[in-house]
Amino acid sequence: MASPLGRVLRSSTTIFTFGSLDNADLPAFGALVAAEVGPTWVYGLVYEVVIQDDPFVRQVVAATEGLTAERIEDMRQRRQVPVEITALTVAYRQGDRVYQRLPPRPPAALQPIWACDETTTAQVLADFAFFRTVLNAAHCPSEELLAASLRRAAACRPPEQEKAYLLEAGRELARLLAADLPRLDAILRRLAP
Amino acid sequence: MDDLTHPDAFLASLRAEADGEDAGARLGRVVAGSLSSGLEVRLDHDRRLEDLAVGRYVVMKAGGRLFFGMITDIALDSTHPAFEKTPPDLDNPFLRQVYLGTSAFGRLHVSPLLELDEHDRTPRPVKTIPGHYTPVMTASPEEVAYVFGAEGVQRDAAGKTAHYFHIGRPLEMEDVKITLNLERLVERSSAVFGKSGTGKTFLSRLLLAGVIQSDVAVNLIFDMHNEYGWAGTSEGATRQVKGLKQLFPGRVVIFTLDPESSRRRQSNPDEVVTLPAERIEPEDLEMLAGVLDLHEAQVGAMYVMRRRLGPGWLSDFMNDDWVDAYGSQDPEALATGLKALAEDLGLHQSTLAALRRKLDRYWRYEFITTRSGERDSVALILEYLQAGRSVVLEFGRYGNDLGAYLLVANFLTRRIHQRYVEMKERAFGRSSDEPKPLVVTIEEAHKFLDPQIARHTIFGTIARELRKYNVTLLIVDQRPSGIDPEVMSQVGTRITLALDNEEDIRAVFMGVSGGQALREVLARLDSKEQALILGHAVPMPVVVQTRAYDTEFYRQMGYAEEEELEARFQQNQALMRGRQRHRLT
Repeated sequence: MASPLGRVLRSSTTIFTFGSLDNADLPAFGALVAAEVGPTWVYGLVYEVVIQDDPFVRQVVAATEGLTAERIEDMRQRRQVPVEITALTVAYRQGDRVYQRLPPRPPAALQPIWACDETTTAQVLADFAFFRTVLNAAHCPSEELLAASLRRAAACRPPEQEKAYLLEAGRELARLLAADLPRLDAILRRLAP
Repeated sequence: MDDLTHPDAFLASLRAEADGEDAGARLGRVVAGSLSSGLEVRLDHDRRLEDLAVGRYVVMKAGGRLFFGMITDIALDSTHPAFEKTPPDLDNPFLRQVYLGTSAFGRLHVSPLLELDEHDRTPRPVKTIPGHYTPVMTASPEEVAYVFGAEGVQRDAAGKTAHYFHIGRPLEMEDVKITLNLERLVERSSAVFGKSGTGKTFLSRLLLAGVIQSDVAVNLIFDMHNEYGWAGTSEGATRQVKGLKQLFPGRVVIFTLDPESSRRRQSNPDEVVTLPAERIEPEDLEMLAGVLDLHEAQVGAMYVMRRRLGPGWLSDFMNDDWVDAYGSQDPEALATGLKALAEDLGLHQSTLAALRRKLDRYWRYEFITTRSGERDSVALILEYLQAGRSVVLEFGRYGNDLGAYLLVANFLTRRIHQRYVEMKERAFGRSSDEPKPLVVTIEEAHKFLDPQIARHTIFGTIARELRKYNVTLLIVDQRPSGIDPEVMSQVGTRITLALDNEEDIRAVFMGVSGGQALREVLARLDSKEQALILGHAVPMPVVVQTRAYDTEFYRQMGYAEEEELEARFQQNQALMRGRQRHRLT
């Protein structure tokens, strides 16, 4: 964890949004990010990245002449408003234990947000209790998010465990979504290696 | 085998409560069910239905008990009906792996059969069922062997000495011997069922060999098709197999109705059976009413004649001279011959004429004799039986004549049973004076035990009175549905080979609790050498691959081949000569 991805703009019990100025190093869809809240670490899955316009961008877009590659790159790097990234809270850690449920408190404003390394990702998403949290989230593309996060979590494991992890996750989904086959099918298709 | 059934090793496995350890043998988990209707087991996703079969044993360990069950049905199921209507994309290997076994899965129906307590290791009938999600495992050979008990003389559950006879092995378990408790087999009437060509005779011969060898009972075998006595036919490579007399020369005697046929087959009969005409009672003929097409009036006429004419009624009635001369001595008689007889007896002449016509065929049987001073076959048979020797009665050419078979079997059995009743009552509870338990083997049993006549025939009586008089039946038949339900309900052990007919299958399970669940098992037996055994002589129903009736079996029954005897003789001779020479020098 060299430098944080950004800082919290706003948060609630279920989601937190942070701003990032670094356009080049945006976290991927489904990536696991973390914020420290007192004695706990809160984990969320990135599900929305919003790049908003600002007056400068508008001007540049309006001015059709003189739009060189350097200019574009300069505009991207020195933005007036940050890129807004929102994550769905799925778990928290207290001491050594990871709980796949909502944390007692959301991250405070301006709290730094960190990307999680492979070990942490594999550990936090080892259990499948967070499926319900993702599937029940109305405000995010839950099927896409679940598939993307599971594929990322699988990739964080040793290669020989990757497939077994995905299969196990698939079977757990088949159990949870026994009554909603179109949804199950949609997720499994996105999950297939 | 012995160390497999060692109680400690077994108990250790009983205590190893489920889950992880035996994961290799785990089939699935109990998900629903009841004691009466059986258990529903959801198959684990890595188990393939194709590897299973009805009739196989499973065990469930729960609460310090080991439950035994049998797979009685196999089904496909899914978590959602839509899986049937719109199957998922199974070309995608990942989807295939996820769906199969999880969303679309196999389901087993398991009939609970027995339970073993951790402390009291006696197998007992189930009185409860394992709880939800109890893991279900394929029964190990050790467990099956433990329940059935080892071959030979052992103590049974009640602590009595019992002979356990090896009858075959369970399906897909090579080294396990399924044993029958012979004492319990002969204690009540037993039955061997199966459509023709499935090996009923072969299996019955196997059982009888076991009974004779262990000496738990003597046998009276009505050998309709000459298969038991000296040699039997086999459909295998060897065309002939050894009969009981060859296996147990000192313990089996062959009686024959047809000495000529027996000689032709080189069967060396010991005695020839005759039926003295003056001993034939109306009761002996009454059960032939169906075969002879006798009407009630004709049956009545026989009783009237017996009462009025005395023991010689049949000889007289069938004697043309006697009938023609009837009444001619009486000068006042208005008529002579049959008419006079009919008037005297108060019967219709036509009834008597029809009766004579119908009985005529029987009258010409060579084994019915009018000569007096013949040896009494009944007494002779009884003598042999009481000396512990089993009697095989060959029918020779009469085997194809149902009437002759019924007449003789009924005639002899009625009288022998009568004597057994007398002996038993005289013994008055002193077991040493009691007659030796007798098993009467009858083929085509439904002819004797038809609901119409089972009440009148001796076989119906024997089946119903159980072991009261030390006489039981071994019923060999292909139409169990033709047997009186009341008799069926008294049959202790049922050994059933393949059956096709629905009614027959239903009849086999009549009076067996939980029998309906086993129907699928029975309906799917191989048409040869597989049998479902249930009832008194086995702790739980079992499907066996019957053991071979071959030289190995002969040897186990104590039979030695000629070459072997010769070799033994040479050996003994050499030994003796060697000693002699030694002594001389």
